[in-house]
Amino acid sequence: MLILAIAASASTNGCSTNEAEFRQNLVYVKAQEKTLKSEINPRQLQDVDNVLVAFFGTPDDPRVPQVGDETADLLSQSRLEMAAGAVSSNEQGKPQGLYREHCAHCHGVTGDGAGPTAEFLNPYPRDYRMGVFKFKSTPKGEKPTHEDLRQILVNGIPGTAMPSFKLLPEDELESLIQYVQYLAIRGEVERALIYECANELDRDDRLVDFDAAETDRETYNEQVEYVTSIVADTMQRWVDAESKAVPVPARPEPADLAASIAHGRELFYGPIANCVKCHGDSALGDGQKNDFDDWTKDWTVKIGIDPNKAESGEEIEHFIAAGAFEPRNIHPRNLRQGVYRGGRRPLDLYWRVKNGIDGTPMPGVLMKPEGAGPDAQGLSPADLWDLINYVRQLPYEELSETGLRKPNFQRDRL
Amino acid sequence: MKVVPSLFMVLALAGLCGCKRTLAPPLNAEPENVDILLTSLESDSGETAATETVQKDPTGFADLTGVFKIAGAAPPRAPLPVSGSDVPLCIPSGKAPLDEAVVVGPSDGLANVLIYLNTDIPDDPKWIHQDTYAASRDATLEFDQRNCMFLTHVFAIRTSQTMKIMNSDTVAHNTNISPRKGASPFNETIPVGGYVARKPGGESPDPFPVTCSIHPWMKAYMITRGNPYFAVTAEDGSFAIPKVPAGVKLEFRAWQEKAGFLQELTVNGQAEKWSKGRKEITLTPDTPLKLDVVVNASLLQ
Repeated sequence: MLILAIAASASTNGCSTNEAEFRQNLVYVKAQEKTLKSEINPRQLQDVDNVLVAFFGTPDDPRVPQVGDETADLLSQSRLEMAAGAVSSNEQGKPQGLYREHCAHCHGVTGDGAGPTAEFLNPYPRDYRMGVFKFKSTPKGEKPTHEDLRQILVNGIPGTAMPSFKLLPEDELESLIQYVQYLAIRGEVERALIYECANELDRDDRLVDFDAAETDRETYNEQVEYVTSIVADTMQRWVDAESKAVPVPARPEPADLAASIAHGRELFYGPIANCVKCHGDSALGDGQKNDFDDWTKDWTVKIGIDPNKAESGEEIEHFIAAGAFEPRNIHPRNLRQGVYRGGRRPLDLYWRVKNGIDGTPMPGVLMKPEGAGPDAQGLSPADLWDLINYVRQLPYEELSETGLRKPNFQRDRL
Repeated sequence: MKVVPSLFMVLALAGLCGCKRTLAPPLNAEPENVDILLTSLESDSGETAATETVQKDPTGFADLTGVFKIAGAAPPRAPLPVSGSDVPLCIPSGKAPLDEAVVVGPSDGLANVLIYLNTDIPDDPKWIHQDTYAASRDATLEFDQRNCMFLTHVFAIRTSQTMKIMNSDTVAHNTNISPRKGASPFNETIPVGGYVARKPGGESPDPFPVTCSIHPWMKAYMITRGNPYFAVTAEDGSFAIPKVPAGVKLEFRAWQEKAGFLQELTVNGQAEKWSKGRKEITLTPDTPLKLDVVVNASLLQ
């Protein structure tokens, strides 16, 4: 009876499908349609899907987009195949379907951050499809390097549900890194094509007019060339990122650590770094707490919906019905806990403070131009290290101690 | 006897896996069309069509001017949700500034409409009137903030120019520039009384937001263009783009924050549809063209 009941409910609720499929970015479509004040022609959206399948294949049969020599080394077909598909192993005992084994339950088969567990997690798992990643070495707006993604996979993200995959063999890690890049690029291309349909094409235009492939070859070729250039440009930015890691000058061994920390404290509260504004007077992360991250802003603030206002509820429901998650405010990090999502090495903190954090309100700090005089505005690398020294000792300051943990030395009691 | 608990179970299970959570639909591709595209992608090698239409040179220049007006009642401007510890410094008067999404000036003029040349043109004296634009080519344009508001709500700049982001407030700001494409993103703290001078990066095909994370009510828009042919309407709705290339077909684009690309308009008394905000214009040399554009208030709700 019990088995029957389970079978019955499973067959009627229709929540799941056995087939792994890439899902449409319906939230982005709806956001564009809201700005446009009309629907995007469904014919054009079907062209988008055709283009995506032709360039990228399917979750069981991925394809490295063939768009020219410059990006040819970014992704390897065999790596993608190792990460894609159902969880299994081949004749040599090599695992297959690594992404679905390790990642898809949170990040979703599509890489949309909407796997089955996603809505129960805080923070929500990353949606790769904007091509934006927070913890990286490159300046704002640039893609992460291969090594940046590797660091995240190896170390996980402390303070979130993202675990470490340190125990995976090197070739499996490599497959997953490339597969994440592949899903991100695929998602970025999808957004770019939807944007084209919404804002560039006239309603009766085609993105790629397959019916004209025989009759009007010139038009068709132009369209194919155009969508190919969108894929190529997107991939090129990932290639370019490899040479864009921000160099980090050697960290000076401070002669006087206390003085360095004291100077860092001044900078923390000072007008240039101005960390206090968001991280709060006591660095508990309670300064500015009603902003949102860029993944949320993409379908709210950017198109005129303020999730902080109660009257936005109805519009937000409309997007949740399309697959978005309930908006949550982004909170600045509580710096007294000693948990750093992007890594706790001084190097990591240097990148965070200098570059800011992509996809979040965290700005980069104003740096003095190289070779500028002492009067020039901004921080020097030495200033930045002082600031980092201050931040790194915050969890161990008296204020951060709960009292219970305070060592109770005998001499204090006397 | 067994029937009752099992019914309960069905209900319980149905409740547990209930489909409240929505998923986007899967891709809806057509296998035959995917095949057509795959075939052409594989065969494509020598077919890189050099179809770049060689445009003939302009025969002169002419001024493009006009005015955007609103027909009907403008939506009321709500006070911005100014909050936080900076309130006394941001609004010394204690009165919250008004939302700038739709600003209607004297005689129904619609301010902050962006109109820009959307056609790619060469950076060549035949196309860019040197007496008018050479001097400003490398100019520095100020983008200032005061009383926790951006002083320029729609900021248009040439890619050759320098953007000087200033802070005339007594509180720090961070200026977060998030282009979709082309221009360089930026998010840095601008100290009190300080500034950052930066090149805006490449050309952006459309306007994008500029915000301040410390003061979330602050909002402006920006666009970067390779050519100098763009304007933002003044408080009275007027704009002027002097010395536009004439004798050639050009495409302009008009945008307003609330309406997006302006599509349904009345131009010089005639109803017109500017598809996705686009308007084709061919000017006659030395013959100014004036566009009297009326935007229905319903588009700005």
